[in-house]
Amino acid sequence: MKPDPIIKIELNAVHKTFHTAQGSVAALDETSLKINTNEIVCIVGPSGCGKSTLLNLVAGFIAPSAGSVRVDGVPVRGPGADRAVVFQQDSIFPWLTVQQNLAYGPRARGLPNHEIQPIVDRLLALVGLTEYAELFPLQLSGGMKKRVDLARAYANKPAVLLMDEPFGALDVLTKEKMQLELLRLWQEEALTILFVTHDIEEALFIGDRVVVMTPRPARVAEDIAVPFTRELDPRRKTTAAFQQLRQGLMDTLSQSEAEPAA
Amino acid sequence: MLQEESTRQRARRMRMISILSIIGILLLWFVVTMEWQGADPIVRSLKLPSPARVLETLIQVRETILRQALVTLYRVSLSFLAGSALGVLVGLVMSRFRIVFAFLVPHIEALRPVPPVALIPFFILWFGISLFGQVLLAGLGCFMVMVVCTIEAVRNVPRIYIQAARSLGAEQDYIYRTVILPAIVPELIAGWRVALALAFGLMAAAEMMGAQEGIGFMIMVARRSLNTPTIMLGIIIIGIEAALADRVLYYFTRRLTRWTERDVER
Repeated sequence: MKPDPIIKIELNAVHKTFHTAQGSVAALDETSLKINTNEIVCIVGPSGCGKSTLLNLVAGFIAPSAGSVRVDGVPVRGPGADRAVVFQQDSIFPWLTVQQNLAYGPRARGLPNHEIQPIVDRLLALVGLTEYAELFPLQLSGGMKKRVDLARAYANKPAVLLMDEPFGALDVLTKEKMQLELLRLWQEEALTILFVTHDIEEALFIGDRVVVMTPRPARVAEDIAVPFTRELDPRRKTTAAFQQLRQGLMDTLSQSEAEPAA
Repeated sequence: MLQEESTRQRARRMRMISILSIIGILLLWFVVTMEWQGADPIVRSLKLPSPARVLETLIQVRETILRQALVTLYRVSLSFLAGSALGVLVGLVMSRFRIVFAFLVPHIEALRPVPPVALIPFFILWFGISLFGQVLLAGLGCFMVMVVCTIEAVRNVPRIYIQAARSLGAEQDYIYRTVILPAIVPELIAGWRVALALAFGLMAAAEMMGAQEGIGFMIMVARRSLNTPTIMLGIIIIGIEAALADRVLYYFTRRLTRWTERDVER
């Protein structure tokens, strides 16, 4: 099969069953999804439905029980620098300073120092952390840590950015700032983003497409293209058209939750 | 500002309590060994020499005792440095490679509950009365503590850091150097403190059974003539040495944990 240059991520009839001491749990059932290059796709669904499973499969942290997961037409065999991950919990390294965190990826891939420093400096400026470069994460606020996390992912120039409820633990205002920050970075330097969230508003604000999943075992319930222009203005969320679409997706979600999967 | 002042005041109050506690014990010792107008003290001097007798002894033997103390300190330092460095290294290698783990774990688990002191007769047979045998004994104790501590600490490293590192392109060996090693340091410090105190205890025991100098040797010789003031002096000196060594260790390891919350005032 020849890879389609436009399709970046492709999940084909993916099943994932977890075997635990308590028995087997089907997390994903017959899920197929295509994500185009430089597209932002948001996955929403009821909590515990298997959204994160989908993301972990693309990240290569787990392998599918059946079906295939491909990035650039190549089956995913494990984690790799082409797919950066931003988690909900803090995953920046607390023993490294802000700028050492940003340099981690390039250094791990063996880039020479004179190439790393410009990357780090540019990203520090881009996310407004230049004056905090020498601080340890302990000294930063939750929002700043998230920006370091995002910048660390970007510093590695990945083709795909996987985000697992990245702003879920932040307060409303910080969350909104981070959404804008992400869009600004993406406009600066486009890449393919798979964004898992339980917040429909966030999904509609950030995404080109919003994919709604059913409860466990998850499948794709609905896949809609977001019809709005992507202005960096949070007031966009309060327009009638936006709210109408949000309500529609809410209904889909609560419906799928009401009738248990067959 | 107000907050800052009160935490400092509290720290000072806590220090005062510690000092009072030391003075209290010394006072108790003084009282129970006191000869009041020719009457017998509460505890006979053979069983517990008075502070004055111990001080007298210290002044009499001050030069030799300094030498003995330094000999013991030197041996303990060697044992601790070699034993705990090797322990951390072996612990890391065991965590990294399952084969090594499977190969070494039965021996370590079998040897761990054995008190190292029980090995002294063999060590004397094999190595004679030598620095090597003494250092091996105390070093073995440190080694055992640090192997177990390291393996447990590696298990406690949050998976999310390893996943993040892998997604940033780090290979397994690189992750061990740049993620696992720094992440386990706070837990290693606990192990180092235990190992250091253990090294003093084991070295004293080793010196009692097979040495020609050192504080333990001095205590052993004094025992033969029931010279309890010297025994007491030896005990106090080992205690002081161990406490000072612990402070030095704390000072050096503080730099390694600037990134943690442990030194944040609360």
